[in-house]
Amino acid sequence: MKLIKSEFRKVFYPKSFIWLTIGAMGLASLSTAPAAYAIKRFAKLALPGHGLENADVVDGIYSKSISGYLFVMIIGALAMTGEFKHNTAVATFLASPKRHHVMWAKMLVAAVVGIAVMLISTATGFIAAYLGLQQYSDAAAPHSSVFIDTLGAAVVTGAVLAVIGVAIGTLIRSQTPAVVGIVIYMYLVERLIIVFWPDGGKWLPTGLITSMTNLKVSTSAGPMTIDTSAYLEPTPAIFMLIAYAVVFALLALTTTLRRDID
Amino acid sequence: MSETTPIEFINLTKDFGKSHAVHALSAKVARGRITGFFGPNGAGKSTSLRCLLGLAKATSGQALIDGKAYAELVDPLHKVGAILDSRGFNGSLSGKKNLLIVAAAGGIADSRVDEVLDLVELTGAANHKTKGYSLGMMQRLSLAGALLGDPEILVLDEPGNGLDPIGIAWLRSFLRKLADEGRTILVSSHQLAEMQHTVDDVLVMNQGELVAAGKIADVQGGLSLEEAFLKIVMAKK
Repeated sequence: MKLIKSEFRKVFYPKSFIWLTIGAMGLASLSTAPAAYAIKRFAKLALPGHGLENADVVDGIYSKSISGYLFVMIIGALAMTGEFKHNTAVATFLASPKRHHVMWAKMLVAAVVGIAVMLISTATGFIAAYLGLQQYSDAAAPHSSVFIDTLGAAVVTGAVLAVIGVAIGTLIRSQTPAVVGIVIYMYLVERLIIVFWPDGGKWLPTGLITSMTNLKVSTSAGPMTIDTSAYLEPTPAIFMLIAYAVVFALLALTTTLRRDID
Repeated sequence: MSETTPIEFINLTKDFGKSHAVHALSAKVARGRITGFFGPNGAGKSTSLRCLLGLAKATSGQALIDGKAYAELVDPLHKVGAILDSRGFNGSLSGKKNLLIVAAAGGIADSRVDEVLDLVELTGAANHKTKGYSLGMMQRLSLAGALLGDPEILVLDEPGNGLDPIGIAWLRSFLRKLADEGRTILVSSHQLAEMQHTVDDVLVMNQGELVAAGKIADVQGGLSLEEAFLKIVMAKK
């Protein structure tokens, strides 16, 4: 409990936590609010039946409310990289020389904070999506299940990606490379893989998060294909995402965490 | 007070690749005394202290506190207070918040933070962000952090760095006061002229090895501490 209290203070004392939460809310809003406009604007390019009159398409807009997970992963990474950036790792490990206890505490706190941030940002995304769709009277009503599915996925995503973030921060230690690496990987590399190699992409965190939202989307343009019907079902996707967290956490616990603290 | 040796190095060796940072260091620090830990840059003092505090893993040998490795201490902050790096604070937080984080990790009451800030005369700057602190203020804050758990043993690596003459005089009287309370203090420093008036015992390291140890008067041999230190270190080159 002592370490958990200390770790909560490390998260909530700096203002960066507020900015990251605002960032998650902003990203969720930007991922949803303009979507209705974009679909209308490019309606001629879409396949027949893939406009706002399709409830699955509207569900797709609402499900994008989960997009703030990038910031949760960064919050997790900062929990460990901050120790090395500010040289507070020495004080932390003097107070708790059993290093794995520190990491467990960080992962637990990051998971709780990650869930909270995801619930806040996802709710913000829902509101933004609603406001965007309100501009079009022909937009279909979403299925009621999309809200439960997306919130459920947000809870799992918040907990698991925050833990992965802590593990990545432990493995890399240096703050800027860790954060930049997370952004580039999650928002560029994975997305390209998902578009151009969907059979592989569905096993990656972004594909698994889409699986957890239980979204049904099928579209293609040239070599780019997105067909969520081939994705995993939500339950195996949850276990797969947790498996990623376990692997990263074990790697961090058995390798980097054993190194000398400078 | 327990009868074990408060601090003991037993054949401690720490290698970085092929270089010996510390080689076969064996020494004891007596309870209730101030022991100076001296040596030129790169002598192995800080590495020895890091091994003692469990931050670096010894290649061989042991560094013990009351007969135990640091990682085995049940309540480490109540047993040992340490200063290893005065930069070890989050600059965007106040001195008080930095200490509150450490206090929570050590299971120490928040009220103790105000007490130690008062002890090191930083109460007025307690709520200022540490990025605005002078080096001397950071050293005082580090000392406050080391005292949070009211420990029996203090391990201080260069606590006088950055202090002005008034700060040095303050540190000297402060360390003496702590020793008079029965605490054991191991302090490394380059400020030999100043330490001559502060320490009771001396350990001198050079090139990773212990080259002198004993009561300060015995090590000095009638010379000033600085003269004695130079004589010892030069003789081993």
